[in-house]
Amino acid sequence: MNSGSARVGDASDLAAVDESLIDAAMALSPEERLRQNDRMIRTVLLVKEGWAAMKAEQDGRER
Amino acid sequence: MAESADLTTLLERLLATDIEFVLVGGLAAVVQGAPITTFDVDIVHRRTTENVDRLLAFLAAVSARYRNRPGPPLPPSRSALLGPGHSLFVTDLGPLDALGAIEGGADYDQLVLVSRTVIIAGRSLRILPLETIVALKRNSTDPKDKLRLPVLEAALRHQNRDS
Repeated sequence: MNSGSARVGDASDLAAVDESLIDAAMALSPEERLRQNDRMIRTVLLVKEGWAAMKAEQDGRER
Repeated sequence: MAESADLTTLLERLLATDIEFVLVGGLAAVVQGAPITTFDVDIVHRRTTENVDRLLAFLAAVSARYRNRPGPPLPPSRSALLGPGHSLFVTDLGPLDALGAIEGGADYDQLVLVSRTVIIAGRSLRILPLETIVALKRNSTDPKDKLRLPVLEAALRHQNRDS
């Protein structure tokens, strides 16, 4: 979640933090921050499921 | 990891009990405005017999069983929860880690003294302050902690600037 508009290129960019994401999170209430975390989890799980399904299909075709 | 997670509800249901605990780890940082995503609830619970019995009742209500263990589901152990070790559960609402103590042996009695209180669902939630979380992560050798540290430090700077 700490990528966004952060620069990409040299090694120092590994520590770059998108300050606008922090501003956005700070503007939320603690409860809203918790719900946003839940939404992110659901999104990550959805992507993981999609990736696993794609891999399974790909492996099946290669056999 | 659980197939689904509703950590907000898990936390709200914990708060609806009389269990004494301090929220630590990633979710404590999230509550304080760190823009990270965390996949479990980490608590340090008070290790009195009465509190552990309340925690056990709660764990039974959310079907907690140890995670990352082979074999049939193993229910929570009272003796483990009374000790300083880490009990890592999966529940119907997502993963929950009940920690007897964290880095440096800090237990509930020590952490509650430095904890901060926020209101969640109309109830008081004790959380580890961001500055303490950052201090702990600075000493961590876990690669995940090292990756998150710049974000946590930036969030702490924002918190200090805004207060």
